[in-house]
Amino acid sequence: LAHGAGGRVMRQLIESICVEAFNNPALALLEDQARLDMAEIAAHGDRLAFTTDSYVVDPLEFPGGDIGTLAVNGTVNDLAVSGARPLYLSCALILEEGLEISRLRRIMASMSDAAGVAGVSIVTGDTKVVPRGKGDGMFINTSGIGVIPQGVELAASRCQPGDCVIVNGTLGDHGAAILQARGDLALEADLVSDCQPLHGLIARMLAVCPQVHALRDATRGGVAGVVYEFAEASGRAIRLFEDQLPVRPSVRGVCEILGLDALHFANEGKLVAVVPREAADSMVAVMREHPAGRDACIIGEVLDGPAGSVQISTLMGGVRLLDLPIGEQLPRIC
Amino acid sequence: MAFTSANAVDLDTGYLIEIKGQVQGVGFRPHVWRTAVSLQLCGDVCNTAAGVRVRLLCSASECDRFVQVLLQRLPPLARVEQLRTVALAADVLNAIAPGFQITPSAIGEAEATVPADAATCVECLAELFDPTDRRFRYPFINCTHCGPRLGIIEGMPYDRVRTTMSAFTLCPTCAREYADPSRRRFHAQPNACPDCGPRLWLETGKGQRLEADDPFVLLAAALAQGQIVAIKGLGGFHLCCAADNTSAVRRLRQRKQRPAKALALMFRDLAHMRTHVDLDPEEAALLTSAAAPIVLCHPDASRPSTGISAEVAPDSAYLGCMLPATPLHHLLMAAVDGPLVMTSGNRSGMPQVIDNEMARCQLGEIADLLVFHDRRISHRVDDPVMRIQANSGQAETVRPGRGLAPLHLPLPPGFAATTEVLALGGDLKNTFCMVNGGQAILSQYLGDLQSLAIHEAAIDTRQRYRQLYRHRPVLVVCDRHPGYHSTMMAQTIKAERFLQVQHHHAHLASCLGEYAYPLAGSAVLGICLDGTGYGKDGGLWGGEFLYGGYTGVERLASLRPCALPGSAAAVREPWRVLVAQLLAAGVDPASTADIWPWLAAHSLETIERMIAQGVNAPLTSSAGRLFDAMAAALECYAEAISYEGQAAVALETLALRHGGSSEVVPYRWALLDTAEGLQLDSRPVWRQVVSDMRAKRTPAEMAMAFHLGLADGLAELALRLQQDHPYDTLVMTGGVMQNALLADRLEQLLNDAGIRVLRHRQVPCNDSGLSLGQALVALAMLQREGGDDA
Ligand SMILES: [Fe+3]
Ligand SMILES: [Mg+2]
Ligand SMILES: [Zn+2]
Ligand SMILES: [Zn+2]
Repeated sequence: LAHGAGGRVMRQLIESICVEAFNNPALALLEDQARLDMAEIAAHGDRLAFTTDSYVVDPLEFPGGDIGTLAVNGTVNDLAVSGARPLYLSCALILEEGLEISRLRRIMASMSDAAGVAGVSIVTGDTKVVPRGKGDGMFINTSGIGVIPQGVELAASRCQPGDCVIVNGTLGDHGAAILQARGDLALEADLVSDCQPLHGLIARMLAVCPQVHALRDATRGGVAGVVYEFAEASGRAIRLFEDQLPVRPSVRGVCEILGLDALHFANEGKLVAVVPREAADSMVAVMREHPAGRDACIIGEVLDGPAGSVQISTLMGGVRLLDLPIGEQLPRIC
Repeated sequence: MAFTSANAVDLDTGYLIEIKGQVQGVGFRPHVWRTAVSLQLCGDVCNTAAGVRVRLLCSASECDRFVQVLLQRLPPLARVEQLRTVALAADVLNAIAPGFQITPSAIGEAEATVPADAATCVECLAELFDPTDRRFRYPFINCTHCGPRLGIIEGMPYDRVRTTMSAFTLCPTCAREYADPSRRRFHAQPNACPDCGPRLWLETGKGQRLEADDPFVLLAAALAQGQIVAIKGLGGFHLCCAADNTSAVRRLRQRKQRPAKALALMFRDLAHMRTHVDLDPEEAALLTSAAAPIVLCHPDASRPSTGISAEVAPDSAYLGCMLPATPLHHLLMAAVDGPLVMTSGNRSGMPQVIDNEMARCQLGEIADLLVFHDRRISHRVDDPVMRIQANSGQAETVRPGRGLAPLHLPLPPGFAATTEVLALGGDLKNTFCMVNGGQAILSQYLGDLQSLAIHEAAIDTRQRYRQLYRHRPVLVVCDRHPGYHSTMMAQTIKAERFLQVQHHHAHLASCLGEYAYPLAGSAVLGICLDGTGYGKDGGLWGGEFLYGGYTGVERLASLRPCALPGSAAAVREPWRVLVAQLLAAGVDPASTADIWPWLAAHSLETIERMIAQGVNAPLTSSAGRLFDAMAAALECYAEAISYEGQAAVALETLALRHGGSSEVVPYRWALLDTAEGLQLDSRPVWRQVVSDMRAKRTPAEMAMAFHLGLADGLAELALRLQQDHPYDTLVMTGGVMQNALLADRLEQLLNDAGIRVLRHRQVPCNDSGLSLGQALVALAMLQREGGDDA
């Protein structure tokens, strides 16, 4: 990929790659904006959900996905956890001079596949090329529009004492896969990102249990980050059960040698749901029938207080406070 | 108690004397009474929330004489910090009744000090074992010179109605003692006897009550059979077993989930203790002091101890020894033959149990027999741990606890007394500190806040203190570490201001504070040797040379940073830091299979790449981790530690095993001039360690060479810094200074160079001292800002 000279030719090339990849009527018009039909949108519910996120990942491609699948599923999931049905995405690319065209084609193709799987259309986009050294190969920003069905009210503040905390599968797969793919850490483990869309699963969950109290996708900051947000927003305490946490043995091994905690690892296809206790078991059963929830399980419970506290009952039999989600895991031990 | 003084009542002058300090619950008012009576003065005395108030009808010279006599021989537990005399107004004079009275407490501003608990005094002990005394073998005997204080107090001023003794009504005999100023039990708040006071009973671990004519005979028999006994003491339950019974000690460790950390021992008396450990006169004095602490003593090397199982302190060169602090413990120790292991009553990671019901459910699984009584414990206070510093013979507090807490220190000169401060300390070995009415009040040791139960207990203790002192902080202070639970805790407390203080700056200030080093004093150099603390640059510090004072410090030098591969995991698994140090020194760990064959079992390649690529391998200048690495090299808990500092404790023990230090050639650290200041570089040491391993130098000698060399390097660096940064006072602080071998040597070297060295004494050098330092630094910063109360 070149920058500057032949700008017009280059832009056309990129546009043709994108248009071809994201093939859909709205985009094919190649106007400066997507034009969406109001009636069609309104048919799905009574509120719009609108979100945006930028994606930066090293390496651009990794086992289980690439920056393109992240950009689609990340934004789809941000919409989905409001209970919305995701409909349209935008896609803005910032490409670094020197990026191979073949790589761009590959990533656009997988982005298109991901959109297809998720049932969303990429309806508008933009590309910029920055000089060599000014970008990390490629950045993607996607914005998304979805529609929230009538009656769906999810909010972290609604967590109630006695509620169960549920995840849809194993923790930390994405974080571990990225670490392994990034540099050669000489880890002998089979690690694949869990990058996947969650709205199909969420639709099933809401169908059987409309009274789900809170829902969030556990991306950066991991399940620990989400649980802390829930505890803070609801003014409750949350207790996790260490012996119930689903972690793949390969991920566990990586965590051990690296000294990291899978609860703090990023995921790209995992959600944390807080549901009333009486609905928890049937919810888990329904989730397990869906491909995105096969390893669903209850990992904790909501307690009355103290507000904002996140605890974990350990294998040793005690209860300790979970490490705070501060980005880096720094030792507290003096 | 009125009496007629020879003095005329209608004197036209009078004086008000206000006394602050440790003056309540220590027999101070009867002392005032006796003094006034002996001088034939009229007036009265009462407790106020601020201390003691005396009013005298007398001339100015009589008043001076009174004060002089009063202060001449204070009751054993009393401490006067402030005494103020003002003339009384005429209308007040008329209101004072004839004679000399002790009048009821006046409630006012809360400034008085909460008294610390005190070990059974000599007089009470004599009565306890006197068959003719009415309190013969009564486990709750006490007087104004001894007994529980913090352990029973519920409000201030300290009076029986505001203690957990309010549940017991004094019998007529006890009431007479309580009311008679000429008796030792005048206003002894916990005064009690077998007729009216607390009672003791035994239960099995399964909750079955046992009847016994003499419970202590039964206990002694159980202990002799190797059983584990839980005893409700003064500030919490203890767990005990016979110290010579290895299988009993093992069972206790296993049930308590405390695999290796040293256990304390209790001996009947000093003579008995001397048959097992060497005691200096200073140590003996400390053991018999009112705090009756656990003292870290040297086992008697000449007489290999047969009476103490090796399981008691497997890693340590010291034995933590104490004498009975309560009559109950005296009775127990009199009934058994040998010393007992006496450890706090809790499962590892849990707070000490103080409540009978909790004891049944938590200790019932650990103990075969439980000793209960019906006096409620109001404050959880663990046994204090102290040691005598070799060079000075001065006592040093390792863990502030029963008999020491709360510690009241006057604010150093220059600090404004008006801001109420609450400092929350660090996460481990947590204490908190309140600044109130011109003094800093340091709490007892509370433990590791990561444990939910300890976290909750710490909050509870803090609330109790705040109520006792009627404390409303305007300034809340904590560490800078973003991941500390104490940091999060601080943010939930409502106050006008919130400040975070760097970990090692707080360590330094805590030592300055204990010496009342003035706020405007000239800059000092602080050598902070520590585990890991959050640095000003977001890095992990722990081997720092800080220059300055309360208001601010400059980091002049440090140990050369080295990677911590696995972060917290590297703290738990010392082999990781050994690998990091070797790599830094240019030694390929894979090439050391001849000397460290066990290293090959680890994923060395992954560790190496984590360091190279910066994956969870932050740099740290920690001295504690350097000790861990050396310990791992000498195979002291290289794989994993089971308690904080275990590897370093074992390394010190190994070094001491070498005996003398005279013929040992110390390792030599290099001094490196870098953009970040001078650095003490350990790389040459590691290359030497590798060659010494190959040359089969003994581990004990290598451990000694490490300690000596590090002290040499630190002293050399300190002197070098003096050239550009003049100082005449140097502070030694941080948890690693608990290593007596290192600290004593370093102090000696610095003293030899003519430097005035401040070492921690009352305030621990470890993280239990942090809260005091935080409070002082925050106050200093606020005052410099010229805030509303500077
Ligand atoms: Fe520290
Ligand atoms: Mg997102
Ligand atoms: Zn006494
Ligand atoms: Zn009585």
